[in-house]
Amino acid sequence: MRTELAEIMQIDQYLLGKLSADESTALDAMRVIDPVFSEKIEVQQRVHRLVRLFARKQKKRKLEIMYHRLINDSSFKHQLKNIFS
Amino acid sequence: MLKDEELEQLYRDTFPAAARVLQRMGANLKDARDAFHDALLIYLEKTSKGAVDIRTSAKAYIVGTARIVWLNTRKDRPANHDVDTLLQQEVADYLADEDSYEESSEKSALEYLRMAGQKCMEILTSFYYLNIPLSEIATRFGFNGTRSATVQKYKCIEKIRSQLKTNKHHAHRVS
Repeated sequence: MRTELAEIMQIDQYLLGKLSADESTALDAMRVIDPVFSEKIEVQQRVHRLVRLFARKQKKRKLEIMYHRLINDSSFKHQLKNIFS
Repeated sequence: MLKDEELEQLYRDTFPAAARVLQRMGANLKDARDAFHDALLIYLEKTSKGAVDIRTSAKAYIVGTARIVWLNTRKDRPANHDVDTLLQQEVADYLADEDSYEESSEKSALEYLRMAGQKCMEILTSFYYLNIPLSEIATRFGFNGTRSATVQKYKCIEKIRSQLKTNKHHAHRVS
């Protein structure tokens, strides 16, 4: 694996809590003493968050479609109408 | 992960109960739906990590979560002492993520994700969001084994990472 990819792998495992205690402590220290490395960790953390946000947006769209399909069902619609009338 | 039909059944069985509770707390149909969708996502994320307490039924968990989401998103939110603090924390973490999306920088950053391509997005969401093992991702996406899928996953991160960095430097130059 290329050096760059190996580094991404190491940071990924660090963020996912998959490194050994020793390795993790070593990265904690690097994070403090090396601002460039620290920034790389932050960027990768952001990638994880963006993936989560992207996936949630997709899933919410799917739930909206599901709602509109269900509301065409008369018994479901009737239940909601009773609640919000 | 639930199949689409199972998810729809869960929706059908659970939303009226959640709506009844939320309506009593002042929510209209649109508010109730939004809080319910957030609660459903929190539940699905938890099940995909295998972290749902089996002593609680899905319906009770989702209705309870929707109630907390609604209380947290209300501007005039009342003091809320009677709820499960762990669940309260889970909802707060989820909503903090959602709030970060409202920042315009994160909205535009989602575009960099899309620029990495459809296949990358599917691989990354499968692994990081749906918690699907890499061995299964390798089969689904036609990779030659887990190692190839792993390398591809890191290449996808590399693409997005460099986009985020390029943009950050560009933003610095502009400002």
